[in-house]
Amino acid sequence: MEVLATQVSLLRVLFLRGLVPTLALVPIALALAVGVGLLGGMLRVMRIPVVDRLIWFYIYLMRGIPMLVILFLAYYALPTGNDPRVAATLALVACHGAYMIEIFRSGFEAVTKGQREAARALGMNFWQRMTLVILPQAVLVIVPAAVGQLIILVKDTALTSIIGYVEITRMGRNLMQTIMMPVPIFLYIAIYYFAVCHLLKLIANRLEHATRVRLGSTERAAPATARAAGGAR
Amino acid sequence: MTATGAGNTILEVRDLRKHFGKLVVLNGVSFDLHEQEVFVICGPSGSGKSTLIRCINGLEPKDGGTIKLRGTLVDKRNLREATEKIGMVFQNFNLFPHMTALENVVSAPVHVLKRRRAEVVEEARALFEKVGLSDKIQSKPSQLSGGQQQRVAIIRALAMQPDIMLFDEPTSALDPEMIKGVLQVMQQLADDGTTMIVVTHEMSFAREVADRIAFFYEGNFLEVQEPAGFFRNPQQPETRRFLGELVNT
Repeated sequence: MEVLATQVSLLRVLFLRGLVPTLALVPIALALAVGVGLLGGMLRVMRIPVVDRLIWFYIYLMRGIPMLVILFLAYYALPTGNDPRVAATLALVACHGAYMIEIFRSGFEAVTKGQREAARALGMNFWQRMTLVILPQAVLVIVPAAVGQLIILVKDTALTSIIGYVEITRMGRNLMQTIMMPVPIFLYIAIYYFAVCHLLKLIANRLEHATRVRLGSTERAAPATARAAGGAR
Repeated sequence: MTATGAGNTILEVRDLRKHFGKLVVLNGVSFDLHEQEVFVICGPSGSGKSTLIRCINGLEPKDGGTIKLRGTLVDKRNLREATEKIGMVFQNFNLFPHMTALENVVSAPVHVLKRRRAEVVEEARALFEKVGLSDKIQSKPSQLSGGQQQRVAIIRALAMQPDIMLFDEPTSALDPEMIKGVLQVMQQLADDGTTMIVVTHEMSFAREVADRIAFFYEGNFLEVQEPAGFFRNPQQPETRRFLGELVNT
């Protein structure tokens, strides 16, 4: 009985003082990374000479530096007031924002040239083309890739313990100093991470399905099969 | 049909030039388009016909020459405003797949021209009625046949109340049985006095609807005639060969 009680309290502590601070990092980091991705992706498809080169260089840099090093740099080099939470958020945004830019760019570029030309021929300005025509179609490409990136972001929060942010992985190590039960502790941590990522994946599938329905076909470029199915009914 | 030159000049193209690398696609093209005129451009594939009308509404940047719309020079600064006044119908329809047919038609007048939605929807309903698609207003493009999609694409352009309609091989991507319905709509527009430039291989349409027919060959007009003369008495050997090939196929 006592064994079970220990396990339950372990799970409880890991949830409240581990998973909660882990998840506390995610919404802001995610929102900012998506913001960076949207803005950067739009700027890239506009192909403004110098700006495009700068964004490209930023992405190239982030791809070549380990997340852990970015975390240290954010903590020691940026004026974050030695607040590990701020430094952790900035580091996550810097790294994952770069990948998000490429995800948004590829989404925008997946919308066919004919669509962009039709929007232009109707006199739409850049903003109207983007919001009315390109973004609503690009989400089909963006959503699955962005959720994949979000899952990596969630897992990367484990690294933030290195600069002193107490999240679930750090909490596990702290607990080990009082209760020497590494296997259950890290097993529970693994289950928590997996549950969160699985939940995100489920939400992504829902979103993707809804988008496909809105686009009126299961496959973007196959109206012919939709027509045939309609005729058979 | 109005006689050539009866209306005011609406479009003036002078010495229009375009090249892709070393390939000269438009070699100093000049022509006037008059109000209510139907101008058909035909010619062999790859002769630059599509590029010509794509340059007129700015989808391809021109390399030289001038375009005047209602007397106003079209340049980079007023290009977007000019495209509001130039309707375009594409070979592949290019309807927006995430919008209903109705939304395809009303979105530009509402967002670009800032017109009242209720008013635009009412006009759009009349347009759907006109092309025989009243029952398809709420359909998604993927639920429509090619011919139906192209008719929606035509009224999408019309809803902007353009000065000129451009048609870039509007029936080339359609199954034969779909072509007639689209051509009927275009004929109707011509009868209503719409000014249009039509790039097409549909010679029966050209014969019946065009005010002038141009034969486009290697980057410029080789000859421009009224339909009767064009078919009965083509002046250039290339035109005769082109028409002969069409008859034989």
